[in-house]
Amino acid sequence: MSDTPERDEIRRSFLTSGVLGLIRAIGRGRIALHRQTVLKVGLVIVIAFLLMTAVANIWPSLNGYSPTLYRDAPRLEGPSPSHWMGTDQLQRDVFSRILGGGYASLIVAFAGLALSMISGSVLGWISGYSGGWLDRILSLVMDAVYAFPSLILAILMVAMFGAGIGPMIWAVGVVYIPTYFRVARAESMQVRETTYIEAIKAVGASRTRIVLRHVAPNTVNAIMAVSSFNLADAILTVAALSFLGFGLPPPAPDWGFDIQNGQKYLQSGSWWLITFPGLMIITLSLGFGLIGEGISDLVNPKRRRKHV
Amino acid sequence: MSRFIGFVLLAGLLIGSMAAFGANTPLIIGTIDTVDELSFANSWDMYSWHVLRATCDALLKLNDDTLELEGAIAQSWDVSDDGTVYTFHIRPGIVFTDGTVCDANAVKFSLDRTLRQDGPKGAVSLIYVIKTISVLDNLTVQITLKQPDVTFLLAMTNQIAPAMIYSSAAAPGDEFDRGRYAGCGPYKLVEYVPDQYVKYEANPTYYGKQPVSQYVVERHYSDASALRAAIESGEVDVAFRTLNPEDITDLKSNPQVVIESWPPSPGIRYLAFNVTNPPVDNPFVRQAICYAVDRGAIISQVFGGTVQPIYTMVPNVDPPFFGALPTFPERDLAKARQLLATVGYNEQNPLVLSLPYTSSHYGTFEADVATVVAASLEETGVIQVNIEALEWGGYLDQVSSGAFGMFLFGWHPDYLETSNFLGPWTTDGPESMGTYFDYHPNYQAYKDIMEVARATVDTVKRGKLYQAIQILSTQDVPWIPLWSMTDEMVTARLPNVHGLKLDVTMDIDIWNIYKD
Amino acid sequence: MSGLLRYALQRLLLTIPMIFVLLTVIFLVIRVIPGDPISMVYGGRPVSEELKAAKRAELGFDKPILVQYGIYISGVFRGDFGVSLRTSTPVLQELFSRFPATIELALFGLIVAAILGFSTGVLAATRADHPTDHAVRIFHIASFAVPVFWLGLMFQVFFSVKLGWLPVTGRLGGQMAFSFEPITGFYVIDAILHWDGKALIDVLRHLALPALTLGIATTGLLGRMSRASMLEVLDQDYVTTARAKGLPERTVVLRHALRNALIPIVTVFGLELAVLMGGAVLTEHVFSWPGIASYLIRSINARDYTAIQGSVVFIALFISAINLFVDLLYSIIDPRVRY
Repeated sequence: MSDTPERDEIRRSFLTSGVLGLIRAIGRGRIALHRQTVLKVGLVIVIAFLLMTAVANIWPSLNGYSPTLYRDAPRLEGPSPSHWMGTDQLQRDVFSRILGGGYASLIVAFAGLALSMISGSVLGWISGYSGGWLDRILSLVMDAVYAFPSLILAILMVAMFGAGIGPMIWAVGVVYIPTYFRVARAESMQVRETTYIEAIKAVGASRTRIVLRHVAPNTVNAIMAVSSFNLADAILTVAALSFLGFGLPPPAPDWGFDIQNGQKYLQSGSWWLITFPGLMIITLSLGFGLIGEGISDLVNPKRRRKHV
Repeated sequence: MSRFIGFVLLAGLLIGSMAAFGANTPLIIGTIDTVDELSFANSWDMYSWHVLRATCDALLKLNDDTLELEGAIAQSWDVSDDGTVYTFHIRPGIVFTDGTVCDANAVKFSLDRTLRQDGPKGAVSLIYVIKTISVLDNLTVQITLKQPDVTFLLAMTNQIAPAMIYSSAAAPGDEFDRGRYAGCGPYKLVEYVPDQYVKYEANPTYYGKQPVSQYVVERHYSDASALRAAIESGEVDVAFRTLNPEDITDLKSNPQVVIESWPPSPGIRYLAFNVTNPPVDNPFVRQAICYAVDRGAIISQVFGGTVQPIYTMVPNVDPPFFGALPTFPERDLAKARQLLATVGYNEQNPLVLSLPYTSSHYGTFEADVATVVAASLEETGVIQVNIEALEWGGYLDQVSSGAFGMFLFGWHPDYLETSNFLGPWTTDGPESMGTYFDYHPNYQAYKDIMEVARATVDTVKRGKLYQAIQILSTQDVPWIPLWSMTDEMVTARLPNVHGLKLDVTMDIDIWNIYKD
Repeated sequence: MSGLLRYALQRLLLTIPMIFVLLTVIFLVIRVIPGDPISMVYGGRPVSEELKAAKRAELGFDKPILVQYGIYISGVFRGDFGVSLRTSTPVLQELFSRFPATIELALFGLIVAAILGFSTGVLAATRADHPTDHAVRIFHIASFAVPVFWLGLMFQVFFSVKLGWLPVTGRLGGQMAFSFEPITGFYVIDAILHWDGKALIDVLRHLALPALTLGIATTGLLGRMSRASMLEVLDQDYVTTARAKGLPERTVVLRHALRNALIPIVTVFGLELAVLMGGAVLTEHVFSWPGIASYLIRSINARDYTAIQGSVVFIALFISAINLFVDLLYSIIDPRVRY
């Protein structure tokens, strides 16, 4: 249309523009491997959370208290040496619930991500490569969904499907499809124009073959880079869904649900019930965000501006 | 300089607006209840009826203090010897808030219209017993019943929305009223904004005692935390239904807020069973659950000790309902295991149950209730419970379609008589209440006893019959009474508020409340 | 001007299919999934199958899905959003009465986000690679990572419960709610129109925490955009020229760079608004703010299909309108856009 190139760039949002830089950088072999502190911190956080959640799911009573058994501790007591993060109204140790409380977030974020990544990218490749009316319609649909608040769409879907892990995966999976669609489409449009695709076409390769063997691999890097920012966002979406009561049924530990529960005891002074689960959500989401930031930094030197 | 002028202006404004306030400040009541529909024939929830009760009257009412039956629109009444014909003598000179006269014709119009409309969400079934209404003269109306009914006069009080009398001029045609009505209660409805507030103004033409507070606003808060904040900051003068137990404890130490408890409560919570749904179709399983469930844990952990355990469906109130008999046993895990063993459940072959609860109807503690109920059953070591959360609409669907074996339910009485706590699940509508009790071998016995009881005028005999049903129910366990909702019987007020009282009707009389 | 007009028309024509797509998606999500919308109409009372069938027919739920779709679309275009199953009032009327509350919250949230985001973004860009830059960038990522509802609760604990400075929830104090007569529904404007200082203070006190919550939680996008855009501008030739002329860095940034850096930021406003509306759901929920988003949550919990559908459609239309507006605004302020 009538947009200036700069504007088009901006419209793809800062995420995608960072990613485009990544591709170009890899293409020219310009990966600069210094200043990775951000990336490292992010990786450490995420790996630590994954380990913690896995271990807590194998041995729920990791710190000597059960996250689900009621009457295992005093009622509504603040942090103390025996209960580091206090206890809740059903006399459970908050710390033991914190350890395993990321289970739903991580499962849903990763599974939802896989769902949206695969379907979004495939649609994006097809749309970008084939062009024409299919591209127009798909783009229109995706743009419309993209413009709509993803959280509201997710809430709506979960409300209709019912609560639990499965519905949450669907909801998170669907709302992020447009993000991957846009990245994959933009990339495959670029790849389509390259001479080497022209050459393959000339040899007479089928369209499916071209898309799968030649277009797709060239866009994978871009898609992977978006995903870490996306995970950060998905963690928050899952937390919000659980907070609103669409998550795991009790008594399973879950940060979002525990915050909703703690809200009732907020004014009578039990601050520990919501503070710790909240900090966990922030840290995990921040971890994914830092990884995304680190990757972008790594491959897009323009973002790190030198001193004047 | 200009800044100074601005300051003076602002200060002037502040003082001016404060002076404009002053006298006749409204009484503000905060609640987390919501209006379902302001309609006589199509609403059946406590708060909608509370609003209707403040703005309308019925033929009779319960005395504010003694709860004795007394005249309202009707000054007096006679009953025929066979108990089927009631003649009401209407108080002369009553006018509705729209200016029309409340006479025998108005009474006939209202009751006929409500009966005809019979809204699907409404409680018109409570006055189904009415056969005909005839106007004898301007101030006399005669109601003939289909059969004698000892609860009829109770159903004619302003406790029951379908019994209310309203102006024919203000009532919309065949539609439900939805707030468009003119009654003759102590207040008239000024404005109702869903989820926000209801505004009342004293009805100057009210035939009874004028309300003490000229203006009353009831503000609707979204949750108990917000309600607590409102009473604590003085945003509302009265907080009524429902504060969180922990907040109640907390507020008791606040000299700015007066917390009052008005136990006991006639509202009950219980576990219900679909007696046709395996594995709870087995009476031994239901008995075992009844021995395993831990009322004490629900009360102390979930509600911080603010509610009371109950051992029969008829709540223990003062003065007691006649015939109430606490027949259910105390917790006994060994007994529960033993019962389960007789039907083949043990550690290797545990009983697997699912326990649904609804997150959007019984308040924010329901998840905790389900957690504790499940955990207390699992303490037998022989039961495994999967908890399932549903929103209210979906929950009801599943209940009435019989999909749930065991589920959490609650009951607020429509009228204060024992049969209202025993009939609904066993004899009146077992399928829609989810119990499917009409498929139970003992169904006919329950039904017969209830029918006889309802026609028995002698309260001692009637009480005996009700007791029989309660004893039977301990064997068949179609329900497990858990606790009475005493947490709803707590009010908070500012120290300058007077006249606040909460009785077994579970409603406050806003016309008696005022502040200095 | 005619060029602009043509451009506006063109954008408008593009918006219409977009709205159609959104409406269809919403319809599918709400309608195709199993579940009986009727049960809620009766508030859980036992009802015969005939009555249910009659109600289903009355609401049109018994018709084939395509017919339902047609009725729905034509209803939306006639401005008929149906009657709420829960409160029995027309949905559109409820939405209009709540809309100003949401807009007021979103607007003040946006102001907070804009001030915070733009100032920190510019600061970071001018100090690129300094510790300030890193701190700001971490702040921006952290603002992405904070759950809105948690931030709101923490503010409540701190400012309302512990310090007692600000009210916990709502839009107006108790006494005020009785005496205050809304005119436009935007209480800040209403209070000014009434020339009522006390009301204005009360309104602003209630608005402070929700706006701050929503604003901070959505600062990241604007902040990062500002930083990137400023960096871009600072690299431009004319800035280098200005520097070469010996102008102080302060003047260069404020006089030359800032204005040009602002332009691309306008484009993210549409996106920002979607983020804000998502955040508003949780903010309104936590602060009992009587807006559209909290209405949506209540409707979901009551399974009020017409209200859910109505409010989602309303939000969709609103966002499309804002996106259209931002497009036009952009074409006016950026001379490089060709019509």
